Amino acid sequence: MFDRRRLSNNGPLVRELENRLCDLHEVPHVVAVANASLGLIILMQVLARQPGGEAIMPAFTYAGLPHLAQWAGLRPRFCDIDAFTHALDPKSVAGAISNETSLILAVHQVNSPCFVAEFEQLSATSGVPLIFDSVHGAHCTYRGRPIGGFGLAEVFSLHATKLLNGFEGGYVTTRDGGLAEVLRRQRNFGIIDDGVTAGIGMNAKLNEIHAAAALACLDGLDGLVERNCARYRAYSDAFTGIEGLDWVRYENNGEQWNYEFFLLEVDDDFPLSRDQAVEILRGENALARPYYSPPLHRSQHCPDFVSTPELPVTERLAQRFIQMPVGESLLPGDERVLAELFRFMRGHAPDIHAAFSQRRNP
Amino acid sequence: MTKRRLDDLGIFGGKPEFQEPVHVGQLNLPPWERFEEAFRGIFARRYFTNHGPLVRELDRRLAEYLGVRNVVCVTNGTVALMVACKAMDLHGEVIVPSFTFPATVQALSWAGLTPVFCDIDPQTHNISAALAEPLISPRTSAILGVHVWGRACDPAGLQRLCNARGIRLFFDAAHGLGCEHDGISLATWGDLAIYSFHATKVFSSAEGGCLATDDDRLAERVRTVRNFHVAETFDRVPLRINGKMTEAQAAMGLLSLENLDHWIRRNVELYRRYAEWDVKESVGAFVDYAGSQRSNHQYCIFDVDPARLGISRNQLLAVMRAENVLARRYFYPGVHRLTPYNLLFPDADLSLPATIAISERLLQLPLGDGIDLGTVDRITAIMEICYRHAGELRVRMEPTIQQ
Repeated sequence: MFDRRRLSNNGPLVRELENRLCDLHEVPHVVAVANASLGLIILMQVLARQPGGEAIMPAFTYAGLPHLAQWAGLRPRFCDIDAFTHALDPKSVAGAISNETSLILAVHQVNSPCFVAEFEQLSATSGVPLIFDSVHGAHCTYRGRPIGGFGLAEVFSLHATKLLNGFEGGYVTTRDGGLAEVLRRQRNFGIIDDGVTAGIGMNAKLNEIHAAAALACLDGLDGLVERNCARYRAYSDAFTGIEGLDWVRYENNGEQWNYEFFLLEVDDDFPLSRDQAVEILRGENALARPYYSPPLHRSQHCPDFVSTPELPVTERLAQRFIQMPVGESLLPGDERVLAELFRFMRGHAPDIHAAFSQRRNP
Repeated sequence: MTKRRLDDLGIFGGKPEFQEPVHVGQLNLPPWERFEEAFRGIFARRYFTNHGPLVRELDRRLAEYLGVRNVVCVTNGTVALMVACKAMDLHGEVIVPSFTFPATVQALSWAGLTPVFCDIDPQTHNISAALAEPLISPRTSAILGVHVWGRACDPAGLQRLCNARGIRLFFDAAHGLGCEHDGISLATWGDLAIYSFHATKVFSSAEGGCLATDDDRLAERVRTVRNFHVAETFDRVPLRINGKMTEAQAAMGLLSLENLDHWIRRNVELYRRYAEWDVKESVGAFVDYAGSQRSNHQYCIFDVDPARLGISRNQLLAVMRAENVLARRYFYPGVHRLTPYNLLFPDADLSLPATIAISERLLQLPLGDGIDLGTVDRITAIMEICYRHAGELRVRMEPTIQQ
């Protein structure tokens, strides 16, 4: 990179990364971008069936999505999710499709790809373009095929907290060569030839340093997923038998998973609320987080012009999950320590409630 | 072997002067050892993005360098402009030059704003208060000035105008890191200025950019717009984006800061070598920086006057390309002539005569740490052949190259 003095502008490392990712996802085209958000913006801009229409998306997801739709000139339209997969419910989406619909942005969830076949069917019959936010679907399969080859395109992240760490970064996978070509143009100001542009493009170029980091991670991907899996199993073993707690399973059904997260579900019969448990964890320096809470249609992120729909499944799930600490800095045995903390909560619930209420009303 | 005759030129079948392409961008790099050290630090800390220690340090050091209260680093200069529009909550029309890089105007479009193209002063290549004033309408919310080549874009005049008319003023200073106007850093003029740290700029973080402002409240809004993190201020902003700079980019930026004075001196040295040739032959005019007390000299722009050089800019460009000198028509053809603006504003040509004239004349030539004085001499030698044999060159090129 130094010898070439080449730090950006579709350099050789970016192209090598794209080629390697084509193999990983078994797709003919990958377009690397500066981050997944910018990738989604240009993808939605290019594919929207009509400018200014609605982008159908879940509210139980990444806080950025409604913003990205608006950058692309679209209005977010939130639909409800399925209680088991946590992904968009095809019935809710079918009911929301109208002349106003510009595209469907379906999101693969941590424990499960979304209803790919159902959405592809819906897209084919309605003519509404279908894309996937596949940030959580990296290295996973749907019916034996890698996530990345479905819909018109899928978007992945190379953010440091993701499976492949490119500092920041992202990429779009697609089977459509024409779309890939347009995206390459759009990530470079829409330039087609020597300063002449074909439309409103952006700077969404991935630089060579970030590409180099992602390439290095790609070499170690299998080992990384094995360690994720071991951590998931250690968590599962440690949390087995704590009444009132469950966790999101990676099903043993022959599909490939990335075992990225451990999502703890706090049931109604656990004596503390989800938020109380998170507060106690954070007090112990365990950086657990409420998972997708509040849901986007109830948050400050919700634009004023979006009418707040009834999303009963979304609202129920948004109160139940804790995203537990994961990643390479979690030490072996930490899972057991965290489980002990929950046993302590269970055992001392009345005292904890008393302490919380005393703090509220000293 | 030095080229002397037309037949020596690549365009007429001669061996290209340069085996490897010579780029116009700066492409400055820090010493490898310092780079390695910085990246060892990043991997030891395992802190890669999300406002890490190096980004915070770069924000601080740049604020110091630019003499401004707040600097917020972001993914790139385009994102910086998009963030600026939302942080300032602009609406309706924004007055902007057509003689700029397309991203200046595209950022306005992404932010849902309507560009109103302003012509430039043919001497400065910049818009001015006098040119912008007649374009102000009840829908105008701001003027976006561009400090082209790092030369100040009438900041005092524009500030007076904007104050009088109650509209905002911000600047695209993508070219202007290290440049001053009236002894004052370009960062402090207007409500806000953005910079680019693209690899082709004198200060590089591979890709990157920043927003600079003396307005603390506006800086807080900028910090809120550039990410989706909950921990930022809760000032209500219209829209947010992932515009975070990474630790890798910040490491490059900090190393650029260490080497910036050296690189600027280098640019001045190379630029003077071009200018010496120009003075000796008195054929053209290199865009000069005499009006600025302090400039980064990162652009060597040759203003091709066919009446004096004897050939057109496009002919000189074709000759240079054939020698493997990747000179560029900067900025051609003017953003108002690019899609979709040519369709949205089909009559814009009529009000932008200087923009069109200048965009036909300028050629950007190589500078930066990747080349040396010998490279400049070889490039000016080619220009000299063109100048000496202009008449014959014109005749031989005319069938293929449009004037």
